Amino acid sequence: MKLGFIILAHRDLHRTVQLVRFLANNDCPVSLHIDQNTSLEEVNELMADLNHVKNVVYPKREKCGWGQFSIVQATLNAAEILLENHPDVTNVFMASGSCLPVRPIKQLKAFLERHKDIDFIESFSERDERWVKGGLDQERFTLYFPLSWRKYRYAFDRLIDLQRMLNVNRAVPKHISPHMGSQWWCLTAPTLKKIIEDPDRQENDRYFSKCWIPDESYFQSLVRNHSEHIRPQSLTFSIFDAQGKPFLLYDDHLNDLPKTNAFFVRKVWPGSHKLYHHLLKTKRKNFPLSNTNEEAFNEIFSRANAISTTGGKGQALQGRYPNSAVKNTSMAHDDFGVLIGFGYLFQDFVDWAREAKGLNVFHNIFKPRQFTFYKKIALAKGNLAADAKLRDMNPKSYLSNFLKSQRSDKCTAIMYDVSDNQKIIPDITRDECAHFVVVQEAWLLSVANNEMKLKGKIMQAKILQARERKILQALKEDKHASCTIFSLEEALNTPGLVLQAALQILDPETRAQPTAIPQLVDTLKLDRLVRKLSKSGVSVNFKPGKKRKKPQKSAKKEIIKPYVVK
Amino acid sequence: MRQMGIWSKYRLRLERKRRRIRSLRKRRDIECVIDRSSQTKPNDIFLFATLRNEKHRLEFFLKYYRRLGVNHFFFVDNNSDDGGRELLKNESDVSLWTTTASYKRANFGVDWLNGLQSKYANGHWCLAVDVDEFFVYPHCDTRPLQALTDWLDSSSAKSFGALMIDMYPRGNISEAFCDEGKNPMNVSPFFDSGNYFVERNEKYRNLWIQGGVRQRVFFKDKPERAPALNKIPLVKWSRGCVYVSSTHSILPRSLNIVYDEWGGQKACGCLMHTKFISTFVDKATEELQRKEHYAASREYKEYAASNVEMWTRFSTRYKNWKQLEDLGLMSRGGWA
Repeated sequence: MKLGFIILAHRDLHRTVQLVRFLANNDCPVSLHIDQNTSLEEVNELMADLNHVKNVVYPKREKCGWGQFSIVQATLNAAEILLENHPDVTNVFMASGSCLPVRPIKQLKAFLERHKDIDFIESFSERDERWVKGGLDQERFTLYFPLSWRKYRYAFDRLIDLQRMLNVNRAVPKHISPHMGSQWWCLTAPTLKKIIEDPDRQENDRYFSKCWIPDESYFQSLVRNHSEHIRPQSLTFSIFDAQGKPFLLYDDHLNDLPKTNAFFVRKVWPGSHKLYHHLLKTKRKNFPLSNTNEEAFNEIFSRANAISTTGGKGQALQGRYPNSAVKNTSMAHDDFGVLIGFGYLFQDFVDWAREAKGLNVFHNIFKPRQFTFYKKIALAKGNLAADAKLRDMNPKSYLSNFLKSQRSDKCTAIMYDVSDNQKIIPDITRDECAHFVVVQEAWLLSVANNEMKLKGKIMQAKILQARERKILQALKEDKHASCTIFSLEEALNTPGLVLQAALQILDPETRAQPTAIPQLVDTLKLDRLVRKLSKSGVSVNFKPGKKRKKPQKSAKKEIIKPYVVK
Repeated sequence: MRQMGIWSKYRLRLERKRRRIRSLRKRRDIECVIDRSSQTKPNDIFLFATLRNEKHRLEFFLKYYRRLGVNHFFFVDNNSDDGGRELLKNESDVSLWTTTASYKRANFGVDWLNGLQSKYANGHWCLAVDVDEFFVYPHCDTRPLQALTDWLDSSSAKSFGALMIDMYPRGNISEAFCDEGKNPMNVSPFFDSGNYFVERNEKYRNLWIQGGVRQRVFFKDKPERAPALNKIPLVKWSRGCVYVSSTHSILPRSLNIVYDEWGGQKACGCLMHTKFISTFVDKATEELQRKEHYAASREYKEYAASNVEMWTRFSTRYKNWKQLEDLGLMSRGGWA
């Protein structure tokens, strides 16, 4: 067998020289096409460098434009001259000047020897989703593309819109069945010859010259008419990024390169000295294809694509500042709880949750004025200080930093009450990682138990009530954060149920564990306050129960008895 | 996003022109010591910096950035008397200017650099850093700067953002002594990893980031006055570009959008700021008298007032770019 190469090059020709020389030395004839746009100076330099290298032929040069037929024309020119000058060639490998062999040529030759008569070319029909992801698919074949996308992006797009509006539908010649796939193929010489010498060649060329990106469809379609055995696989590894340009390979990819299931890779950054040095060594050992782990290699690139398109949950940094129209942009990596009203209801909820349940609950970090995270802890991981001025400067960033500092296998929850700084509320209610558990009107307890005079209490109640309504309204409207609401009545009658709901958010595995509930605050003055409030025109949902037994000392004792949470 | 009206766009254009003219005028204040810019090639990467009495940092600084792949250095020396000027003059890849004019009145040196850049940097990728700042970008341990700028070119990006991270020693600053030619990041290796606050400046559309150790220690009572840490140190310069305040923001405004607005992450780096080594102590005394620094030299005042400990048990020791990426301070974005 004899393996010939078609190489298309347009820049960094010093690297192309290295590749061509390497291939020629491996007894592979090369047909080297250099873009007509490349400067004369560079071309002369290349010619001088390759002067003494045998086995290289130079086809007629075309001015190549990305996505245009000129690239196909260049390939055809190169194929013609290669087959003409080297009639003994049995397989032709199509590569670019920035490709490099990841496996020795010897191994490639042996592989092709084993797969005689097989054409390795990705060739997927337009209905196959394996190839085109977004962008134009079928329309590549039925619209007109007279403009260069690179030069006239705007006009290019408007022209397509116009054609869609006018229902332009160019007829596909009957003998052509549109297929697409990677530009980098390896065909047997007979198949390639048949494509070049196709009796319909003129019609083919005329048709494809009006298609979009014909270098990904010309050979891929026509091979269907001329080949006996197609294997829709490219022997060149090439992967595209989210912008649609090929990922570049660098020195640090060297150790991962053998993981790919291909013989060549594209595209290599021209400054990768190590890659050029290692991959173009004359004596290299075969690396069996059976040892590949292509997925692990692809992972590097799919991860970069994921980072650049969706950013990753909870990532808030200098390179990511989503505007308000973007969804799924939580400030947190993990779900977190926001417990509203628990601080008013239970005397020492935080201590209880932390000690009895081993949960990651924090005091009100949005308390007006000074606060600590827990007991006397005023500094969190990452050197975030518990400082009200710092927090109020940018509450959202602050909470985001705080949640990041508390990342662990346990779920984090913060206590929040209606008397706290309200600036943070719109940011949390919009956050899909936030889970609210609200004991509505629990603030009544705080108003009832404080030392103020009645007038002050009424004022305070009005303010807190308005705030609470605002929060609940926001939760209802935003629909991102989850929310469980209990009335104060429920909470007082069945505190266990409320606790259970809170705990389930914090730690789903706590279910059915018996536990003592934390101590409720004094509810003696509650009913009286509510009656007074309603007299002065402040109506609350909580009904002072006539039937309710006046809380007695014995009743209070009853409540603090161990309570089983189901 | 709120769309800007034609009027405000026009006003920004005027501002850009005004700043540019100012920088051309201020260029007259600086005097050329040696101009080797004729040696440069079209694809070279340039570095621009101003300095004053920082000779002890220069050897390592040049070494660091040469290793990254900076091809030519442009320095403006603000009246040094420690021999730094003479050192730089003899380096073969340095062009040097000197001035006795006021640093503060040249918009903290920005005017001088804008002036030089508009003359020499057209069409080049340029780094603008201080001599105590070390640029760290994704893959910087294995890929030279040229790899980054090539990738940015192919991604049609014209600027690259970096978060400035203040580094500090454990214990007394005056004991963090860094020998000439040695890496100051080794004597001052700690930083704060989780206290950065991000907002957006709607006028210039750059992000405004504050935080780090300086906010925590020196601006405790006025955190909103803490210095900005968002920087755009790497720019493909074209005539008409102009830095606005330090390298925090630049005009035209499109260059400020070094962040992704649609949920993704853009590639970005960090500037490791090694101000806090033993020489800071003398500098604090000197600068307090000169009053040539931003926000009336507040850090120097604070420092002079109390010899604070910056280190806490939550301080992080700097390792490499991957660590910074894991901490969410920088990102490789789509650059695999």
